[in-house]
Amino acid sequence: MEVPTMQVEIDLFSGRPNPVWNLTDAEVSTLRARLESLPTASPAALPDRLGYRGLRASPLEAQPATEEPPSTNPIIAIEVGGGVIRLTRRDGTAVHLRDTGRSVECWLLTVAQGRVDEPMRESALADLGSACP
Amino acid sequence: MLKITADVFSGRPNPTWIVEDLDEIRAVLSDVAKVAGSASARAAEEGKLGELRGFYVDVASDQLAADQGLDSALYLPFKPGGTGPMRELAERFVSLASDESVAMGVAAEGLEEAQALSPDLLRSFLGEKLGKDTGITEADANAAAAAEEAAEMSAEAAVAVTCYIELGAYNPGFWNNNSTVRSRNNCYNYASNKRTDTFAQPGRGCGRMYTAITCAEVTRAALCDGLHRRYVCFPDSEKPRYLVALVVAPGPGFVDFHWYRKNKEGFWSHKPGSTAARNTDNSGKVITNPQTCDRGPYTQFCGYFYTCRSQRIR
Repeated sequence: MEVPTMQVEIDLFSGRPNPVWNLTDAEVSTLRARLESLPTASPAALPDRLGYRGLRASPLEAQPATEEPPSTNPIIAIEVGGGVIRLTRRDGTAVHLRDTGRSVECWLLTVAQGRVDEPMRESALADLGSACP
Repeated sequence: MLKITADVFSGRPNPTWIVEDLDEIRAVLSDVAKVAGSASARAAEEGKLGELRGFYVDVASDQLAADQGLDSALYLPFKPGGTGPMRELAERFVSLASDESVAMGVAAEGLEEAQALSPDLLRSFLGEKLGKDTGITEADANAAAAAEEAAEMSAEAAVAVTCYIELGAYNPGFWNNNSTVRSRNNCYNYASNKRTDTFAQPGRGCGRMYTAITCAEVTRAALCDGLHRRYVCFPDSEKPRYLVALVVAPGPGFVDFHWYRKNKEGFWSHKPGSTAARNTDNSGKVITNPQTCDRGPYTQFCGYFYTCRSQRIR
């Protein structure tokens, strides 16, 4: 049985918890490939307001950071929203990418179908307007 | 391992809590280094009885402390009513007093239950010490009752009432600077000014969480937690009594609730879910009236309420 390695959260609510689901290994690979194809960008803000803001993907870690300093500096968060992607590493540093055509955002919301409440997913998609095919 | 001790008592043991997350420790020590000019290795304890005089900080790993140019045992004096980096650091220390870290502190000090403050009490006690002189009490009068329309209003609304409320200082740093506090506390936590790290839901504290997201049902759940509708007064024993507002996004599709709280500075502030607390609306304008500000999809205004000290929240 596949053990999920990455979860995605749609960041839209204020009071209720956000919906969360897991990516399959194949989807994680696709996400990685999509991110690698995007141009880097100077730091920019992601949408930060009441209502749909974007998505956040994070690796599911086996251990919290209580051991002596790890030798790697992995990405611990992938935040996507409004055409901006922010990759944050364990040491707190961040790299920004341009989500051209909001393609990664669209793809993640499309993948979410069947895994989250459908009217809620559609309300998030509506925010992207014609950006999502 | 990082041990933080608040220098606040003289007879009973000082409250202690322990942080183990390495990333958190590094971040805190980096902030400590910014105020390191006022730090010393075990200063004499000055300051009045009953005040928060300072913090002891003990770092188990010499290397972590040395990385920031610090001794591994420090005393940071605190001035009541102070502002600036030391105050922000003090708030950060208090924000690290989670249930888990307080329990570890109690265990490490070998305290008995009777000697130790519960995590909730510790946080509100220290929060109060930090917040001293930064909040005000104000009259909240139902002026509408004096109007000519009073005769047509319900009996409850028509009675002229003056309740007393507290307006706390706008303090977004407490909610925003620590990623655990920011991500695990929502609009309801913020409006109530009570950190639980549970993404608190109305009604869950009293055991009857909302079963639908409508003004009526979320109101019912909030009243169950102990809030009162506006103009149903709380006595002084329930200080702080914050004035808050509830709004709902009715959908279709996007269904949710949201809360605002009035601050001493005269504006209202809020915290949309895991995002940062702020005093501006969706148009970037400072919020002077939650009924008329830009609330995005939260189009239904449900009403005003008072929170209270004994509010259950989880």
